[in-house]
Amino acid sequence: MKYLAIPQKALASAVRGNFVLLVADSLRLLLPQEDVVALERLGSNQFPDSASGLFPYRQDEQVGQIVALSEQLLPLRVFPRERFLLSRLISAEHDFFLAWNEVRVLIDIELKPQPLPAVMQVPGAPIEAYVELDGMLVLCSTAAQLLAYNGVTGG
Amino acid sequence: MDAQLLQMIEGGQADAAPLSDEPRAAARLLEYRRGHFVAFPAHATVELVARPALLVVPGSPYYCHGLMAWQGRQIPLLDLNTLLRAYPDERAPAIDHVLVLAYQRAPLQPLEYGAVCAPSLLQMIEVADSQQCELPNHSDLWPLISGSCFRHEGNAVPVLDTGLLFAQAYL
Repeated sequence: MKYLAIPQKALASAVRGNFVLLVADSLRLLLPQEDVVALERLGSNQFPDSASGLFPYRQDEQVGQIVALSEQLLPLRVFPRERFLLSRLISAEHDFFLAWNEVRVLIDIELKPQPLPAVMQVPGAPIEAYVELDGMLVLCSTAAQLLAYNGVTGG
Repeated sequence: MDAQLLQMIEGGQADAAPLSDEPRAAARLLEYRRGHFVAFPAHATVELVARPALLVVPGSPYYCHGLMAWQGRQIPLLDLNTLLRAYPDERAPAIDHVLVLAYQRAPLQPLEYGAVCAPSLLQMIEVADSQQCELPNHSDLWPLISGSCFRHEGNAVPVLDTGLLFAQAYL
């Protein structure tokens, strides 16, 4: 199973696989492990404010940009000091890191994703379902859905 | 009750005072914005909840505050004011009370639940045929989410069909 959130017929029935839990303050996302190609720890997260929401990243020989997302998946202009974990998502077009408070890799777990109510389903939205994980609700997405969502990349 | 209410309204006259022996149907009146009202069939209103816990869902419709935990379920919370204005009200007060509503996707289907912001207390009223009037014209959504309307204390009050309200996103 490559994606948790699709196909629709898989929703509300149990799925098993490897996933990554990404936490940014009140935002809790669950992505298929295949969608997260790299996890790194940020050496220093002291950045000047950025109007674009893109923060420069230089570590070892890597150079790139970091985006810190809000609860609404919008790039924050002020980098939160609690974000010190980075993930790079699988993408042919985008080459940046997302910053998180907490990242957990969940191996071979069974989940029962619940589809969003019909009134909340919007074509192109980054979230189609949610699951309960350790007593908390987590939103299910994929790298493709996140990166296609305008807010994430400011596009 | 819903069918009864709708049926009663269909045969009425606009702005007429209810006749004393006219059959009436119970409805719940909600002032979703100052001076603007909607009504729900009494059986569709379930519970008023204070300050619910919400899960924000990015990318959901602009008039949807997120998922609200209620009786072991996660139900959508909508803001009627934002929906009907077609844009958020920056001066809207913080969410205090919400009204939980029941609906069915189709006849004989199990009950499902959703909620709307309730910035005012609900009024319990009775509605008669003779109070029927045309839907307001200040939103294109009225015909999509309500099947009837009545006049109450000088205001046109659409009767919301909760099945239609929660059936799909209106964008």
